Amino acid sequence: MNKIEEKLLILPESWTWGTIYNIASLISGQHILKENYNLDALGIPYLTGPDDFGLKCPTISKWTEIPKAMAVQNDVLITVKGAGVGKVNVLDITRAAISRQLMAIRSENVNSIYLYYYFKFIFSYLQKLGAGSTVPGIDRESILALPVPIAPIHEQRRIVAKIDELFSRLDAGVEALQKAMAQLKRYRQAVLKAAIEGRLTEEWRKAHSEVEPAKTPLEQVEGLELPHSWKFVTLKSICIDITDGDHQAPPQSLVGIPFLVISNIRKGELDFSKTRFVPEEYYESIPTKRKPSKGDILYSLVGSYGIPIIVNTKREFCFQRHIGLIRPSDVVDTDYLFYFLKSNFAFRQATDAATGTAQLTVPLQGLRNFKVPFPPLAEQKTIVSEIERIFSHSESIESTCEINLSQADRMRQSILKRAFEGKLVPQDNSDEPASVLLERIKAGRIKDSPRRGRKSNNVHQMRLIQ
Amino acid sequence: MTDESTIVQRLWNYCNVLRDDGVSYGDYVEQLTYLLFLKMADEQTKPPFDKASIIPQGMDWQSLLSKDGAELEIHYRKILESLGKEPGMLGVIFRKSQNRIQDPAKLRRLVELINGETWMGLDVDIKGAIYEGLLEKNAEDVKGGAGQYFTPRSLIKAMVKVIKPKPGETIDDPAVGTGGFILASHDYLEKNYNLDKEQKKFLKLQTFKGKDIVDGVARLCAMNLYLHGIGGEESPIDVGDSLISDPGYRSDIVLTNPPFGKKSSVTIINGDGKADRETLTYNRQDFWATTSNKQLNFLQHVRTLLKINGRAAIVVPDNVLFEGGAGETVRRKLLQECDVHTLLRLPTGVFYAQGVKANVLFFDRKPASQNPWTEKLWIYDLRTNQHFTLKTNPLKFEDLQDFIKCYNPENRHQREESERFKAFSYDELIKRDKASLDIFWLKDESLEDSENLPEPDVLAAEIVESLETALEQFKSIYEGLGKERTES
Repeated sequence: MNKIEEKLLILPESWTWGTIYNIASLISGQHILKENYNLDALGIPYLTGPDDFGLKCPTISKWTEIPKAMAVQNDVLITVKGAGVGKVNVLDITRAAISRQLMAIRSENVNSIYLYYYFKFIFSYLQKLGAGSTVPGIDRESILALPVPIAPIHEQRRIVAKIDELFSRLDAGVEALQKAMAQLKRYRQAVLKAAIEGRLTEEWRKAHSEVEPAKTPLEQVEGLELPHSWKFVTLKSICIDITDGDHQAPPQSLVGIPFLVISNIRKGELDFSKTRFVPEEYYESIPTKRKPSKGDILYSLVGSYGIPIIVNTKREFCFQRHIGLIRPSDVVDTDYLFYFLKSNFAFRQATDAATGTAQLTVPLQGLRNFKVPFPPLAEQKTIVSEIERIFSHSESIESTCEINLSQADRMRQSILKRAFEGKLVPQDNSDEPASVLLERIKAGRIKDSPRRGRKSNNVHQMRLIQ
Repeated sequence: MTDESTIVQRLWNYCNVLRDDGVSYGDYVEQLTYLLFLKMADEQTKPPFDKASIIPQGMDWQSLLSKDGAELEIHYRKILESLGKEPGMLGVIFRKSQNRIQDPAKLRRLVELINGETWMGLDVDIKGAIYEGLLEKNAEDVKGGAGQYFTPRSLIKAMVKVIKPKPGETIDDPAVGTGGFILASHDYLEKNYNLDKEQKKFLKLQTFKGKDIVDGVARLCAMNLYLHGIGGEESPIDVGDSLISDPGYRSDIVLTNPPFGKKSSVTIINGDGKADRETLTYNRQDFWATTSNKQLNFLQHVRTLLKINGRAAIVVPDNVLFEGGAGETVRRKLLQECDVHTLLRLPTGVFYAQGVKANVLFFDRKPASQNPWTEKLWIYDLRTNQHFTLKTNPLKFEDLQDFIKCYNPENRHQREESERFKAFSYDELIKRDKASLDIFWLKDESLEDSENLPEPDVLAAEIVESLETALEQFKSIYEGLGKERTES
């Protein structure tokens, strides 16, 4: 067995070390052929692997009338083969058949939820165990030899209650953080909506009322009412050019000028880390209006359409035909146009214009006719700075949430570590020491046939992953 | 005699004068309490009452009036100290009292202000309203943290309305704060029934009981009740820790809002549990679970306080509804042994405590039985897509009207489901992970990918709420870990 050198776990006096062999029986799963199980709830539930696992207890989707290896209620089920090695669940129904991917650990004298949490604690160790051997997976011998820190029986229950309590709060906290992050996305959209409807600059307009009033607007676009000094314009009217990438697939080369596809812009930024390349001569041959330059805006047109990116680099590159290139004229602020394109209002127009069944495509003509709420240039700049001020706050909140989410994960592990070091709940002097419990278990096993593998009953310290 | 509204105004104004002197609203209300009480006791010795003085001679209002300057301040302190040692109502009002008005001139001014009015003659409502008004202002004073003692009056009124107290029933609040539930119940009984002499006496002297762990708050409560005509020589308000033990008596009704927050110097253990050698412990054989969670303990305590078939309405935070461990034990037992029939999910922005998500749980205590008593839990969701704030958009009684209608106090066994009101069976509930009662079904607009995007500031408020909830949960975990840590 592979031993991984890690931190030692020091136990309180009333605890003792044991192994799975000492405290439980181990039932190996057995494979059932496809023709022998059904999806129609006939017979006994059959669990094939960790895909059937739920948060704590499995969900049933297969049954069999010819069960072989059986697990019963309160057994700890452990995945010993395949991708989910180390994952555990507790069986909450009367019984279920288990496949070879699983084993059932049946302990009578150690609280099964306690054991379940212990397996969750050593999950990465189990994963490594499963990866290390020549035949992937964990064998019976390794499971039986697993050291388990055993607390006095009453203390085990107290530990379980405390973990349940703390984990339920942790789950609630995580849920709240995830909710906050989802709300932040909506918040940003609400801000963009307010921006292009002129609501972010109400005060500014009051202070700058000398700016010239509206020219006749286009027809009122659904849902959007603009301030008087604004108007609707078409995208083409405020751009020098709107084109897309070469419709002929360009020649590829190993080096040269980067050739960007949708996956390089999906994150909302230009990602040069893994691009194809085209030869220099090909790049030179591209007409200027199709060559991206700093201050242009790229806009995805096919599949994951509607993603705008500002070209903020002088670096040379070109792109595929699924991406559009918008070259704003100097009547419009590039950043304002960018934020407009990010808004729901713009995206809706893209969706309305999109055609195709297999892959939705926004035609260039549709893009050119986008209706853009158009404030005076000075106001555009103010709007941009307002948006960026607000977004910088929301970004910092979002990254705090992400940090806290990963901290929550570590907190879970830290709670488990405390639990199994005996530091989560106080010891009680009147509890019977675990060593006595262990002796009792051993004495009770008179007729067990000799097993292969370790039978060591010595207390020993296990090197565990933190 | 000065106009009633003028005296109110003067008291308010003087409050601000003293505030500038460093006397907080809380301090002011306290001093007002002492002085008013002395004045009113004095008035009762004169016609038309002509009663014997309940204040020891030399410590009464007249003795204060005759003094000035430093002498006044010294004598005032003396009065406070000596009356604090008296039994009964006097003791509750004056226990551990201290003077906070250092400037004798200002103290004199206040004494004169109070002396200029006959308080016993004032309508009970006015007196009560003045005092309540000051208490409310005190609650708003966030620095003092007094908000935790103040449950919004609109919520209290709604809870009393659905609980429907009847004359002759006893009502208990083991976390009485400033007495909001008692006052509202008193009000309800007076307004909805034509009480005869006996019933009125019972209402004044025997209906109510309340307890609070903080001297200062119990004092305000006793005074608040007194000014509203509740209580006699003995105060219905007790000072102490409700959770320490079963008081022995039982009531028909319990209405209460236990304090939020986790700080507890005591871990309550049940019959099975073991003692932690380091902290003081109290044995509650009547409890189902051992926990240091104060709200869970109050829930168990409330059930003990009820007569068989008695009814309770208790404000609890979300934790009580979903927490694992002891929380699960308590919920399963409660559902089994009591009829837990209604749960009101309160909106945020209703209490003075930040980030608190709270609910009102209604249940009846039942006799022992093999079968579970809860058949259906009716949940009213007043939280999803509801936004209130303390100042600009506070929760009003009207906002709770639909809940009252759905509750159907006339006959709670004849209810109908609606958009915000749904029933869940006992079997459904106990099947849920940890028997969690934290149930929602309405779609949260702040998360929905719909066309109807709320305003940015509404969404920002929602984000803050989510973050506060997360923070509260994580904080409670740290507290939960820290408490149990043994020295190694």
